[in-house]
Amino acid sequence: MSQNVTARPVVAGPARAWRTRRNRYGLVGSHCRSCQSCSFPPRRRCPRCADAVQEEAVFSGRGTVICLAEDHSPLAGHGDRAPRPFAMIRLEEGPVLMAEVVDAEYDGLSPEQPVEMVIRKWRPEQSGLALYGFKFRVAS
Amino acid sequence: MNPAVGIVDLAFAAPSGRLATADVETVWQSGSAKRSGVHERAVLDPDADVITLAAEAARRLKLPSNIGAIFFGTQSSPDLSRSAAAVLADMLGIAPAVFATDVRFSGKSGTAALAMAIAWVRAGFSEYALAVGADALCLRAAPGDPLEITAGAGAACVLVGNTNIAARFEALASTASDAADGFRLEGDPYVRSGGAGFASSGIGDLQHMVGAWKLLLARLGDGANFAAVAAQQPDGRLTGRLARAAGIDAELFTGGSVAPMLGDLGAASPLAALLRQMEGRQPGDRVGLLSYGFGAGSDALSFIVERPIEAASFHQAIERRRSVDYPTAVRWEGRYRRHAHPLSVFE
Amino acid sequence: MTIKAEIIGVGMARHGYRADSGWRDLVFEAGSGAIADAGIERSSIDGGLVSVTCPEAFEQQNLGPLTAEELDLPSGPFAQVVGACAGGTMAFMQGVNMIRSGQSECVIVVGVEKMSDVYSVSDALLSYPDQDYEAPAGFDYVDTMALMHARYMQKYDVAPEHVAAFAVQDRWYASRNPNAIDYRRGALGIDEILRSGWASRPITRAECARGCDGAAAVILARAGGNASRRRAIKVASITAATGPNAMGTKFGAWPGDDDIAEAVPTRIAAERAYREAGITARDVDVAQVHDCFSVMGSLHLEGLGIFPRGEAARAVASGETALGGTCPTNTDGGRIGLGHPTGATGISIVCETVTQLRGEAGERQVAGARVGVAQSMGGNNAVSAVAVLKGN
Repeated sequence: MSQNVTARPVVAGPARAWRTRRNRYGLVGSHCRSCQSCSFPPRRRCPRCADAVQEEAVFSGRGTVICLAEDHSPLAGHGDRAPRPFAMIRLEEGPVLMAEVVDAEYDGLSPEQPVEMVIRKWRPEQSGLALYGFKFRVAS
Repeated sequence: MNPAVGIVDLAFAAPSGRLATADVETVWQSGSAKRSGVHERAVLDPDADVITLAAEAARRLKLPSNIGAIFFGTQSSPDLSRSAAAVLADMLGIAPAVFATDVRFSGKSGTAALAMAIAWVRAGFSEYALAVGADALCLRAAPGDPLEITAGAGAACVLVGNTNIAARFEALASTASDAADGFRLEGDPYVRSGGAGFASSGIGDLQHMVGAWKLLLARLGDGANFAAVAAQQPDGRLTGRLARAAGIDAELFTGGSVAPMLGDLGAASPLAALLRQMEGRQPGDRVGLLSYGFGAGSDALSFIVERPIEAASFHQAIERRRSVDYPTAVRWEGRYRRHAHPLSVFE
Repeated sequence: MTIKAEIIGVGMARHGYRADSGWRDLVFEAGSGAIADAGIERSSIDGGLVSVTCPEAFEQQNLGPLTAEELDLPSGPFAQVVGACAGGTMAFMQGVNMIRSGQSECVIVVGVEKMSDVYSVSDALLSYPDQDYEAPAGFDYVDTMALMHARYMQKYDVAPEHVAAFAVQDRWYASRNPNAIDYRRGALGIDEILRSGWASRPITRAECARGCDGAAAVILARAGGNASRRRAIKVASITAATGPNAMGTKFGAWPGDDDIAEAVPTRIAAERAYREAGITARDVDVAQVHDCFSVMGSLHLEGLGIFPRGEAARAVASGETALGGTCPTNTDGGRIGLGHPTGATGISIVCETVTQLRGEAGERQVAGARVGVAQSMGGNNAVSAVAVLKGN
């Protein structure tokens, strides 16, 4: 909800974010048919067995917390909400990712806590469009 | 003989933040909080909007793979030209082979979406359709305005289909006319009311809702008994006024109360009430749905229960509550516009 | 016969918030300082490199030829190098290769940054973390490294006080370094650090490097060449190693249970650099490591093999990186105390190592220093560069 008073022209259009929308919305990654390991973000080649045949995988969104931190120095576009807890989260399918934990206080979170994915807004794109992506909350 | 069509599943989502209406009064002191019948209302997170709320509700549903249409009912879409339904379609993995459109008629956007989903499936265009009623009215409420006290945020998603029906569609009746008891012109971020004349005479809400209800009863014929009615709740008082004006037993509304603890959910309001009312229902119960959108219009629908629906998503939305104070709500809902970067240097 | 490279001159521009100095002024300050220190003519420089992380701050690209012009150098190969905060050491590596390949006889490598020209350093550097799933979700380096800090404490049972000790030691050295932001500032206490407010919990404000203005330059030449060699320092080895950039992909990327609490690219680069230089970690007399946040200093000391896994923070807290300790570290004050003009950092660590190996570090001198290691990191341990230098 901010007016950016700047002469800098918009350099990035919506196409770049459009390419990763399904990864951000659905937790779409990849799965290796040879060794069964899963990756997020999706990989062209399996990081474990190097097999180049990877298929798309839609992850459930369920995971557990590995470790936690809490941001107190928000970047432009996030200034209304310091502090924000965030974590390394291991999805139940195996991949690990970094994400914000919403609807929770840092002190109420702990390693190994089960969490589930929700879709929220990330920072606005340079065009002003909302960029939607995964965050996590304590599993119900 | 029309094919059976109805509600297969229904889910609800709301932000976790709750603002006590009395807290708003410490600043503005209008006295309207007490009169509103709303004790606390939902506060929208700054990283949420009607689309993220709808996605959260929809993910609670067991979505079949062949949803042929999404009707997204809202008056608070983040984009004025683009369709929220199309974004939701991608979020739910339904894109791209789907009919998608946004539906807008203030508070009755959700029931309008539902009516369209029912018509769509009934016409045989697809086996399933998704209807959304979602609003973040708190973003449309001006500072110091009575609406700021009651306006909340929430989303309800209804899976409509022709098999495994929980609530079979029976009849629909609607009213609509040009009565500007509420409006928001192009470029204006805030909803305005049409003034005390409309508000106290009921020319907007009561007339259109009672009108639609009576048309519905006429279509159903004599002896149509309702076990419950889910109605629009811009505050905690409309259902009481409606009971008297329409001759509906006030008890029929009680099980669907949503406004006192969540506020005005706009398009989600009657659908959230419907979810509550579907819990613990007996097969054969007749359930009514009665919405209102300012400007003005009302939809009245009746359903026959075939099996109850669990309102787990509603109860969880209530349990997840976290109190926030008025300054936090102001910050989260962007009531003051501010620059992306501070104009002075923080030490 | 293989050509070897040595450093014949170093120069630094004072680090700080220097609104009255543009990038050209800083380049001139460091560059001409290095040329004078080398005792050579400008005309004998036949190649160069300039490292900058965020030229968007002063809105100028293609800095190679502009730097050559600013320093009145002869026409020759001069490229701009980008490697996040390791860019300076990557540029140094390319300069060494220009010498070793025989392409050039005398190369100047400059690093410069003008962080004070932007409103927000965090936002200016935001194109470096992962752009698909981390930066747009609102995370910058202080956040990714806050998770590294949390994970390090969790895995190795390390207390916040141990991690914070790195900043205490940085201040000791910086207060004695006229080029440092913290020159002449009093000692920093642990309590003061832990009470300085969260930047991204568990990282406190006082445990963060300050992105600032500065420049550093070195002159490289062929060993056994024409220029005066009294104070030349040998480049025994220089290499770099990459790793996964996005935080989640570091889990499971390495054999064993290395994840975000281990500086694996540093370990890989150090193993190669030590092998090439014919040393082990025990031979290192003085180390410069990349402490963009206090925990990273400990992580890189462990990556360099100077302390065992999980032990560096405790060692720092016990004084092992002070003068007289096992391995004096960040004797220029580090990123936290000297300052972190990101493009210049990877070169300033070389300058400090050279100064130590020449015995010219004054109050900060490590007695008898003969082998020095300079390490810098780019991104979230996405790349680490390690140089081993030897004195005479």
